[in-house]
Amino acid sequence: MNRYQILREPLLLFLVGACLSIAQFVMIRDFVTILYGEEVVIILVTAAFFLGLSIGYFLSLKFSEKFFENSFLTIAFLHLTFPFSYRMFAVGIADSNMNGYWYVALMFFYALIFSSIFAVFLPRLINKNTSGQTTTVQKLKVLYSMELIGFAAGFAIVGLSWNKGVAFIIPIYWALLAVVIQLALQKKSWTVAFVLIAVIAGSSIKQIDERSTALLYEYKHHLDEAETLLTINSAYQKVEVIKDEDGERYLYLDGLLNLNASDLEDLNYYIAEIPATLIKPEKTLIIGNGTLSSVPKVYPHSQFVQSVELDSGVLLAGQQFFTPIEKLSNLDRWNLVIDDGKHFLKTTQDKFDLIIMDIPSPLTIQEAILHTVEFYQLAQSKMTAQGVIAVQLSGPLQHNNRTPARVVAALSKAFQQVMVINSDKADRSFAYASQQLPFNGKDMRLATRRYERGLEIIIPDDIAFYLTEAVPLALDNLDLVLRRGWERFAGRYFDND
Amino acid sequence: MIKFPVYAFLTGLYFSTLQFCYLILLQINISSAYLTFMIITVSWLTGSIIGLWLENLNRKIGLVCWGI
Repeated sequence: MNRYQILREPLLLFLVGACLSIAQFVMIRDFVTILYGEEVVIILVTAAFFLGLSIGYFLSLKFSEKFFENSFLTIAFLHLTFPFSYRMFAVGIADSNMNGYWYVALMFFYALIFSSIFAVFLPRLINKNTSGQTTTVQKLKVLYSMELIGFAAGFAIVGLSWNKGVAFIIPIYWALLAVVIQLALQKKSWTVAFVLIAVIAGSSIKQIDERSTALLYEYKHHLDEAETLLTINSAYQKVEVIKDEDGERYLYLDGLLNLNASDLEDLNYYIAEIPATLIKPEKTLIIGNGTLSSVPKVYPHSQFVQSVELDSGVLLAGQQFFTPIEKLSNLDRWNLVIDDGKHFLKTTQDKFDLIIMDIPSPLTIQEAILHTVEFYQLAQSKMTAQGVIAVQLSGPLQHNNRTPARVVAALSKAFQQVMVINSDKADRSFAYASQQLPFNGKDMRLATRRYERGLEIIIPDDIAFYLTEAVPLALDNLDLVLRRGWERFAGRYFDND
Repeated sequence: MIKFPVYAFLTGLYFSTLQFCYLILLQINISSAYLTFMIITVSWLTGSIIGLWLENLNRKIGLVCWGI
């Protein structure tokens, strides 16, 4: 047996592991974005991927060699249609007003393509004729170890693709797949055909990525004449900036609308500018706000502004499309740290007069943790005696057990006083919490009267009335994430009314 | 090939729950930064490879490790 023959199977399993790692990343990111990234969707897409793997393992020894070769080749060539094919199917489903079951069927069909075929290799190779000295167990050890090492290598390749589009990682995936085809089938003609088509498809993959993304937003999100300005995968989510026919820019995170340029003005006014104007803080901390658009609003009123944002991909989108770098270049009393807000608060020695929580609604566990009693208690420990935390409530505060009421209930557990304003203009409520609020309802009315006349102000004494049904969000009580996520998911895809 | 499908299923369920809960705990108590996820995944892969090659690893030792 020559060296090629000895190394062929371990190398094949190494590459299969790398492909699986990349496939898992690409599939989960893209399908979460297509279906919109609540926690429920993330769980569903991940489950589909693992079901695909299980089916592959289960059927691996039931195929003849010929059937395996043919199906593997077919699926490998189908990979060359990524990301175009599944996005266009999703566009077609949206355009035809088909119900949600079609999206689920599409996802499970692609899970088979993405993961099943790779799961077939390990059991088949282990069961292949073994030489006298090599036992099946020994083969399992070697080959499974190689697959796991390959998975780690794929994980590293995925790391290299942060803040880049799929146009970076998919050609690498195709190149690995080409070597897998050669090692598995040892038929040069198929390998050459695959490489040729991959080179042709790869030459226009950036355009295909942008156009298919724009079509998704046109048909699924109903943005007229959508244009993709940016589509990248950050370490945490898919970050996309889309422009509609009116020139309005929208920031989407995992397919969920984070903000548009017009709403940003109202949001920044109430969450940042108003509290900063009323407090005149010595030190301000802004958690989130990846667009950095709050910074110029707070800066004139604060002696020092500290921004903390976890996702450098969102910062990139913000600086390119929402807050030009010129607006921030001369702010010498401002500092930016890329870190998790919780980690920053736990490790900082500073105390802040104002903390601005400009983060998305609690639709994933990570986001929900930043709306809990425990987090607000941590924030409170890093605030001055009259320090204020400003939070956007993702909707109007009402007398119920929905998100705004549950967030205010959590704030009320951590702070002595909570004031809420209900803005029609911003289409949501905002909460200001403190151990001792340095402003009252009259001050708020005076400060906002020119911006919005009919602003509803709920003073601290009246807050309790709204919270009789609300269960505070806490680390051991994050049911809201799944409940709200399922409500949105079911309403979006399975509600016929 | 698998003699005890229920045993394998429950082991998978146990590992996925353990991995998920461990990740969430670290994210709550240390950081949600990508480094946390990366360290857990790489450690998990390394542990799986070591487990494959340990000659003396059997159910009894596994149970003791689990208890720890």
